[in-house]
Amino acid sequence: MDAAPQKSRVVRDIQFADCDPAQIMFYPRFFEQFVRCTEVLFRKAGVHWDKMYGKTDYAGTPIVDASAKFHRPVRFGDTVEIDSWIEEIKGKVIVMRHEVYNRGELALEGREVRVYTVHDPKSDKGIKAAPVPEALRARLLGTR
Amino acid sequence: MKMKVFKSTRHINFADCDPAQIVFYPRFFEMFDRCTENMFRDVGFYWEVAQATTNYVGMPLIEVSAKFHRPVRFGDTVEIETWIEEIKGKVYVVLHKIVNKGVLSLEGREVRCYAVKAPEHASGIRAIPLPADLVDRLAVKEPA
Repeated sequence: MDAAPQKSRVVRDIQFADCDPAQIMFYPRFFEQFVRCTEVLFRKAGVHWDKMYGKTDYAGTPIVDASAKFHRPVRFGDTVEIDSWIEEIKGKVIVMRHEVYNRGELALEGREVRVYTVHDPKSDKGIKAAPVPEALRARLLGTR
Repeated sequence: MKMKVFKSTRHINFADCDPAQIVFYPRFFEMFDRCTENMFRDVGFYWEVAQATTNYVGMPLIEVSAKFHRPVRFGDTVEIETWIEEIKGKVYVVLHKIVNKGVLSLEGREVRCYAVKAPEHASGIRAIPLPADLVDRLAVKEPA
């Protein structure tokens, strides 16, 4: 029953377009990468963000907190490995973790706190936070 | 020491936004980086000039985070306030507040250091405290 949590590993070449004049990855690009890796992990669990929009009451998983700790630079021409997993799903909140490895060494760590939302015509924002449905939770945590 | 608050205004364009019609969150970190650079420019410290004429290398990031309170949408115009919150030895903390129609949308926090050339180090750089004359320029002048 308690299978290992879903994990994804993405391998990424660091290109010219990723880098800044200091020849290293421009730091906001790492957050773009975290979003990509989060989407990859959801797809791996059978949850396709594009297919959920408009077809279900799902309204996305907006970010409430994002952070990163930088240990070593990642340079133009490096190839990094990014491991992503869900640290926790608690009610409406999903906590994502990302680790970026460069030549086997931890270059940086990221953390994203997201909330599960559904459409809510009664709210002036049009959406509201809702508990992560049990079936989705089980798929994301790899317990089913 | 009281530090100056630097204000800027930013229109949210098509290119800033994602399929949910809101600012794609990594773009806020790009805004933070620009605001930090512009804070230094406002007091006459131009990163590219310092690189060319002194042993200054850059302001590498050690840690960064953001807390998101409300979405910012395509077409909004936001006001950004940026200041140095704390200087602790070789690191300093920059805070950014993004206000949308008078309401706080998000807060960002960057922990950076001032790096200079250090050929004796494997990395080629080392951190030093923000130079006193630069801190002086970023501080609110106390009445004599």
